[in-house]
Amino acid sequence: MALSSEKMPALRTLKTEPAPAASSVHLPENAPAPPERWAENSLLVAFSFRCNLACTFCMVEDVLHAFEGTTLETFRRFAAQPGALDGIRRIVFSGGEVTLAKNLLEYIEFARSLSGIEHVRLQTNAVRLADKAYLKSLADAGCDEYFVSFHGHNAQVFDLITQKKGSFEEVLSGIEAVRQAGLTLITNTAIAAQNVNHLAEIVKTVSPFAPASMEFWNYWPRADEKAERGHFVRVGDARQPLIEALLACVERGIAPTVKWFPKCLLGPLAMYHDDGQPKSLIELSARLPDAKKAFLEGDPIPDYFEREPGYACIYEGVCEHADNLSEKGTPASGRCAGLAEPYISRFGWEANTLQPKRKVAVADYDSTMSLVRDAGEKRSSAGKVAVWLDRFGFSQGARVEGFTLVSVTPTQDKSLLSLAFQSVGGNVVVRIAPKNESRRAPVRTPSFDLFYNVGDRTPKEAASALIRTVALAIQSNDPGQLTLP
Amino acid sequence: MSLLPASKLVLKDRTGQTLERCEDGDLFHDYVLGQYTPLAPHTNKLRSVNLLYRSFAECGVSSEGTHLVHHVRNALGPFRTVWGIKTLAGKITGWEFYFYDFARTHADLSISRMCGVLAPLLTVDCAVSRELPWHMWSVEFSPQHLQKKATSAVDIYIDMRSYKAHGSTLAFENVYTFHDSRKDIDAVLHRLRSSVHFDDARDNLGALIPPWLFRCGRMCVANKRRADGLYFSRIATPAAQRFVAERAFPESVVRFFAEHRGELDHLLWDVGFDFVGDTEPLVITKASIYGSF
Repeated sequence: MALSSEKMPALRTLKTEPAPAASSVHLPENAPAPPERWAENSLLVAFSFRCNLACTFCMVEDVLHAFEGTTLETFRRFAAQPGALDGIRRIVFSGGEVTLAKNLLEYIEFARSLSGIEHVRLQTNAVRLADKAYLKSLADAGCDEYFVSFHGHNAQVFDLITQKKGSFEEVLSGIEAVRQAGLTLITNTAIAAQNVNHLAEIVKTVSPFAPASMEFWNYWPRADEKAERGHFVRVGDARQPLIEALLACVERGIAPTVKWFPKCLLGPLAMYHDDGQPKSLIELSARLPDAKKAFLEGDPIPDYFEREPGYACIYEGVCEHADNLSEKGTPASGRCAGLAEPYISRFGWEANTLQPKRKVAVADYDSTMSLVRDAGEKRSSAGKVAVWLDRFGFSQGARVEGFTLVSVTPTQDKSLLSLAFQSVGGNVVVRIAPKNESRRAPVRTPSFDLFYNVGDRTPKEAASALIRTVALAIQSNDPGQLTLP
Repeated sequence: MSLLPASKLVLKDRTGQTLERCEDGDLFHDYVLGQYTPLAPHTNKLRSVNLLYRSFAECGVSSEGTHLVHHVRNALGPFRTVWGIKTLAGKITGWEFYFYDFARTHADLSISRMCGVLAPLLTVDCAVSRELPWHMWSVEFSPQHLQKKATSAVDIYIDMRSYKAHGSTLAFENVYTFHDSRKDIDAVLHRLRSSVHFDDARDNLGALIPPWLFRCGRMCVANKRRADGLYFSRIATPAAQRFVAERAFPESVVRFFAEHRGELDHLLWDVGFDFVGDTEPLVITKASIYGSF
């Protein structure tokens, strides 16, 4: 991911703790338990693929207006089948935007009338929820959970994604109405190129509305088979901002959920990973032999499921996290599906980035009868970083102005190097990017732009001394034309 | 095992191609002659050899190629021979038949006997008289070979290596290792990362091991003289169809899968390709698909 002038200010103003490598992430003792794996006991009923927003990464963009939605009669017929709702405690209505359906209340009332159903959930953009009378009618009909898409921390980013000016304020009004009504709020944020650097800020924006949970779903490339839409972020680059966001949730007592992101990159935060998806009425029906006759009326958009992305992981045969049965469809509970096939085709398997939790140690494997086991990188990433640091007189673990250099993290595309310093009293992250004169930078050397953020509790004088020393060391040893490791 | 009734052999599809249909007792093998259970009921559906026939037609040697198949089958019996179609830059360059004898008894499959069997249709230049511990040997041929305008060599496979036999000389050719693509992925990655043609930092592993081929039966990594190779065994028909399309097999071969949709869902296929990347970023060169008859 290339840094742009738009994104840099956000990097500089992050107020959350800097995210160390996943392996050194420490959960606070009072970290909330993972939320209920709601997908396991939920049935999703799809409404028409119509929407009053136009999110740039909409997953049904190619079939908007192609599906008229599950009719109430179809829903009724399905529910009347013996055993159809076995194990189901929640009905989830999704779209498109469900609140555009004029007879939504009838669906909710019918769902509530079904035996064993304890919750009715709307997956919505919340634009209409600001209408308190409308929200009350939904609640009175029996809808108690509101799963709201929330993809940007401010109006600029949010409205850019939804492609509707003013939508940020509308949605904030909607979720405020949910909070005031005492209903359950859960937010869902897609992780994509447009918002990846703002995930922790989204937590800060949403947390005053007391969400029961915040979900972060890595971009799901349905109908983007060639990964050409530009929404993917390399997982190595998304990891740090995602960890920052998850820690921001945890620190605020909010239980997060992560989907479609490699579980092995989350360290102890992997407890919040859940790739499960609910059973879908449209999917169940479409896969039965007489689907149309039995349940669905109209064309069940035959291409829809064919264009669902498959998921795989190069390490799925050796990793405890892997979903060994992960053909297209719902992974087993708690299992990691891996990477989307379009992502793999475009960016590769990330074999050097993933950190599989091995069932069998590599050293136990001997079938190649090879004398060497380390073919691959001519010099490890850590080795390259060490050589680069040495030029400026630094090394991992070095003491600088009372701080310790605890981690040095390059982004996958070598567009940024983060130096995380910690002391007893606080922490500072110095981020180094290739020089780009089209943007402002606090410190500029012949080859690099330096940015920094200082932890909330860090004494300013100490932080200033550290930043000055780091900047001078780089400045005085930078003849120009240097690159990041 | 009886040979096919003649009536089944004369059925043709709308392109005029001979079609062989499965019988109840058919056996199904992958490209190392490992037997598999068909994925779906198979009776009266198409045998994989029909794709081979289509490739012969594509090259204008339908009669010679089909005759060769029948000839080998008459000599060895059915379901003992693996076939491969080879392509380069979108064109079929030839075919290869593989004869397996894992017990190494080399009774009816001795190279000398089979060269004699093939002699009326293919001129094979192999005069290796020593007994060698091979488990497989193969003969490669092109349209020119089928028209008796060229002489075929023989490849002899011993353990993980192959040797090219020309006359009585043997020259080292390739090294092959076979892996469970999922459980042995570390070995696969090691084999690839130690290839002079693959650079982990430069080349996209996802293009080399596409996710839709990853969950194959076994993966084979080959080191060759001028390239390295990857093979994926036991892939289902949709993946085989995608492979021939993406690897730019001739249109008529690609079309075969679409024309016979629903008649191939019982089959598993094997595919492979060579890749070169010693001086430039990796490119896939030769591609092949395999079946058996």
